[in-house]
Amino acid sequence: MGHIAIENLSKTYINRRRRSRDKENPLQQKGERVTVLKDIDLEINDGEMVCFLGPSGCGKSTLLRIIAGFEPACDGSLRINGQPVKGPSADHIFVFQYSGLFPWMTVAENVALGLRHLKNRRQQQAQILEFIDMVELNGFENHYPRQLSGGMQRRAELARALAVNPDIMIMDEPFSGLDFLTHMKMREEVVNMHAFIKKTMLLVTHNIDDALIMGDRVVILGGRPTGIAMNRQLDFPRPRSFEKAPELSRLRDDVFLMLGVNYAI
Amino acid sequence: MDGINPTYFHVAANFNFSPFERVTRLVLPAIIPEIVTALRMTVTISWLVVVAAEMIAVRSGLGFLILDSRNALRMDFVMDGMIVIGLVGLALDRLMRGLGELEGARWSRMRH
Repeated sequence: MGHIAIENLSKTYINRRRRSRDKENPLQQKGERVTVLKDIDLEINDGEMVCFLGPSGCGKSTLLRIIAGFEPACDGSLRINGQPVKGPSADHIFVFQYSGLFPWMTVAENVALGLRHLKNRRQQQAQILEFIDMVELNGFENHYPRQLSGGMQRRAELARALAVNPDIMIMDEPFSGLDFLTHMKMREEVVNMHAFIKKTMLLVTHNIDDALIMGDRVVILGGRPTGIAMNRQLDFPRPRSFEKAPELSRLRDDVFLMLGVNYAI
Repeated sequence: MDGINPTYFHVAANFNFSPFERVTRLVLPAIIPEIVTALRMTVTISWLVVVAAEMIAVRSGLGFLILDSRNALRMDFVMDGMIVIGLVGLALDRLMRGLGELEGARWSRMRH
């Protein structure tokens, strides 16, 4: 189960260094308040793949980090499966923008982090190999992350996240910094994986095409402080392409316009 | 602790690490390369300081041997002392370099 309900969620940062100390007005001393997220209402159903889009610095990552439990929300409620989120947990695994693999562990040891509850060593080994096989990294079990290419590191991290069997997978720009072909392949793999395991997946991206091709839903964040500018279900059949679905193509133009690009190239 | 990438602590929290695991699987492996580098720089220096201190302070040891033999005009002992000091220093450096070659200390080097 991976149902997420967000109500009136807000996040404010206090910028303490902005002003010098002001003794006459102690309220000012606390610094300028920067509201990043304001009144976010969002409901995400179990098994949905939701893509978040928005201009850079709008708080997409912050929202995901709050959902993951790394940061507390200032206001509003966030419930996963009806339970308020108290902190990070293995039920919602975060896949980091830059490699979060432990560089002092081999791929197999990294994947084993999610399988520590299995006391039977042989069973654990079998499972590790299964997950490494799933991301097509067989033969690289005993390599260290630095010995792998960027794309392979991402795949290893995916394997590690999958091994925990989380209810929700949260990915912060999982394809940034990959070359075009690897990007396309990873995208395909993530979509296939989602179709296979049917977990809730939240994905932040800058790439509008990624969001429209992959997502069951796109959520566009925008404005300052950030609110939800668009929340749209995508019911197009897969595999999707812009040529085959003119409506998708039109939507793409709309999204480009919404994010401030006047002509879609 | 401050030098460790905060992402790794998030990962640890995400994977429900116990406080013990956080130390053994995250903090210790993360700082080993720096410890080894620091050791390599300081061990040879401290060896030199030990020998020099022996010349001044105590009435035994290699430094004292050199000083005492010089006073007794036994240049062969002075040479012996110098050679032994050099060899021990070299051995210490080798040892530290060997530590640096261990897999646990190598992860931070060579990002492609």
